[in-house]
Amino acid sequence: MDEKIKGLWSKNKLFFFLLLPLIALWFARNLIIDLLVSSGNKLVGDATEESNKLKSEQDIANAKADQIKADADAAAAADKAEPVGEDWNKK
Amino acid sequence: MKKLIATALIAISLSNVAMANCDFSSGITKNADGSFTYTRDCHLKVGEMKRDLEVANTQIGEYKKVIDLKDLALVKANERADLWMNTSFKLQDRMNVIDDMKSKNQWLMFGLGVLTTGVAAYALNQTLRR
Repeated sequence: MDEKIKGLWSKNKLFFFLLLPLIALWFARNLIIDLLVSSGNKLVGDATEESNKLKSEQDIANAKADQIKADADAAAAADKAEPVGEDWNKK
Repeated sequence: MKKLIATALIAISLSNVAMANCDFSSGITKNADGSFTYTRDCHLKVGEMKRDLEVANTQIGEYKKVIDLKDLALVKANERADLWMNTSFKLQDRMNVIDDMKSKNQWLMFGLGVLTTGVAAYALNQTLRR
């Protein structure tokens, strides 16, 4: 039986060595696909993080602007509500 | 009822007149020495206008800050849009590569299957011959 296996191996090892790199190539390509998928996921994660940062900066700027406008309007309304005295030109 | 409404309207219009009661055409008189004499109402009206102008100028200054901040918010929004556009382009490139590799891998797998079957049949044939 051993002789049979040895004979079989010696005659067919060429096929084995031909198959092996093809299998390795298949695995390598699958690995590359996995790497591409994981790098894509990382890309989306990084973009989401950056986007959230930009969104918070945008919200802060908008909120600041709205606050300044509200303050300016309130201050203007308060100033206008005060009656002008006769001595306005002396102040 | 009509009299009541008419009275109310007259009262409202008279109160408005009382608030803006400087007639600039008659309330300001030019003196012989070139100076001007204002009535009290016109003096108050000018003070009110000056005050309003100052308030408006201050408000404009603040509004400029508001516009700058709104501009900044728009810049950030544009940056976000660009970021997602670039990200989607990159992802599309990756998807194309993955799609291409997957289809080629399927052919490779098919070839490997055929080859393996062939090799197995050949090996079996040799084994049976012995």
